[in-house]
Amino acid sequence: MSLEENEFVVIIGPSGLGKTTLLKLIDGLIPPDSGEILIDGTSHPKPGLRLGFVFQSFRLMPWKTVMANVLFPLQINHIDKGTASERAVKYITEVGLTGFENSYPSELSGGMQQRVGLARAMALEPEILLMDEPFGSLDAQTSELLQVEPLKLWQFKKNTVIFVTHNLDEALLLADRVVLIGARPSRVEEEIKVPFRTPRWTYDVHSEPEYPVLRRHLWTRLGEMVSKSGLFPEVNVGPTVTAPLAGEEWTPRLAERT
Amino acid sequence: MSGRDPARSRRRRTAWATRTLIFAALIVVWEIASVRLGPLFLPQPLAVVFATVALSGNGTIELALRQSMTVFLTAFGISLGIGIPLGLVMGGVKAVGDAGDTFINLFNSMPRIALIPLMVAWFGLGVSAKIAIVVLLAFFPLVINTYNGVLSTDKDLLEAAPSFGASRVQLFTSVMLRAALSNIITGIRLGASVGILGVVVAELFTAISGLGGLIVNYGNTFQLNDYFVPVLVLSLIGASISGRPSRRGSRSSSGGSPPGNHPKDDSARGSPPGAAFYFGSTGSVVTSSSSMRPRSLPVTSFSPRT
Repeated sequence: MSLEENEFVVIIGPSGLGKTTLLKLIDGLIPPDSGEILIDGTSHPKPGLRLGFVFQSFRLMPWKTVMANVLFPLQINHIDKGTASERAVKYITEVGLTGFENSYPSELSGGMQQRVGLARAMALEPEILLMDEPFGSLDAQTSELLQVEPLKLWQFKKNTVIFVTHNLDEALLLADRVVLIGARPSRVEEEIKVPFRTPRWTYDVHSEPEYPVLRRHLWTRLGEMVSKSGLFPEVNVGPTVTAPLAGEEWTPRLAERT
Repeated sequence: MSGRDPARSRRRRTAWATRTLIFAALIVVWEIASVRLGPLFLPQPLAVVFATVALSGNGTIELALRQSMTVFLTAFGISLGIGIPLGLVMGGVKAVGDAGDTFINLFNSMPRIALIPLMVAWFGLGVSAKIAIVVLLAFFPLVINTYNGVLSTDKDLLEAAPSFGASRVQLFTSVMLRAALSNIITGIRLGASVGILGVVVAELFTAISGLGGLIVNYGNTFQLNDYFVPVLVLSLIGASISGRPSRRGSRSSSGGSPPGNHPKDDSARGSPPGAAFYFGSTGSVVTSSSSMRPRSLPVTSFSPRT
């Protein structure tokens, strides 16, 4: 699997197959057992300025203010003070938290805390932004409201984004390309280019004619994997999509299913 | 602050009123009991007040207080200087922690009062012996709480900092140390109150001096009016050290975790780190579990490879 520069890739797959591990591998937090991870042809990335990480569980330091939390990665990477505070202010503003610079995480709602997490990763101005189910621990409403946030931020500074989620709608909203990963052994099962035009927060992606077909297809594939894994043998994926829409450049790959 | 929040100031007033009432009731009970028992067994409260005035006036209390505090502050300084760094190293370097853990537990479980004769044999009966005894008692709560504090750092945070490129040293100084702060404060509090206990015990068992010495002298000569004065002074010192935990440090252990139903955080929030201590009747401090490592926090979290 390879990623283009400035591409927004969403990774989906059944639970527990190591999507988070994949992100950690890319970040260089853990070394791969076999194989290689190359960034610009250089192997073994090290955590640092080139990679930003947004976590599912926010992971803000409870004793630091919003400002100090955003500044923290900049400080440990020895960005000079002026630039660091300039960037911190800039990204706190961009995620809409102006006025909360001196608040503590415990004083913020979950959605706001994750905005801080977003600002913290963005302030590194990383070449690659790794997002591990960033909205997974938020309530459905907040999560939906925040979903377009990465897209908006992405417009300011295009970096390569690798986004892990379980949410198919989130995947189709955000991704240039959806990568479907299967379990045991974990491998890329399928890659799907998402054809919707951008910027996608300006219109309702759900109303695109391909949307339900794509979603159905992803769900079917996920269902297959889950039932194969034996954990949920009776998972009901419903009738499969057999006929591709007329005149589509994208065709569901379901021919081998009978 | 209280002016802005009427409910809180009302609550505070009620608390003070209740306290005053209980205090008055205690004095009344004391008075009745002393009248019933007679002054040989229990002096009247007013007699104790007069004794306090007298002993403060002639400098007896001041001298004893100075002797006791010299021992306490020196010994506690030594305990802080060794205990906290040792706890930090044990928490920061897994090999040291694993090795030290066993021995700290061993010594901590030992009734250390039993080692007083040994201290006397080594250090004699003077100030150095007293200091040694106090260190013996105050040292362990400091080490154990500091160590536990470092170990109980939120596992999620331990992973977050390295993902931004923090080195082991940066991780330690900027995350673990800060996360351990509230536990270290608990350790200081516990260590100090055991230390005060240690001072009195030391003054009883070695050359008689200080407030503990006054207690023995007055007690053995049935001067109960005077006897109560050092007892009260010691209780006041003890209360001021180990009083109600302040809410200042609480930010480090609570809050911050995302609200809602994120199961990963429950382990971190559910087990309050630290103060797993109770005071045994001998004045020794015992951990409530045989292993000092909280079960929910595997030590593997200390390598960046979790």
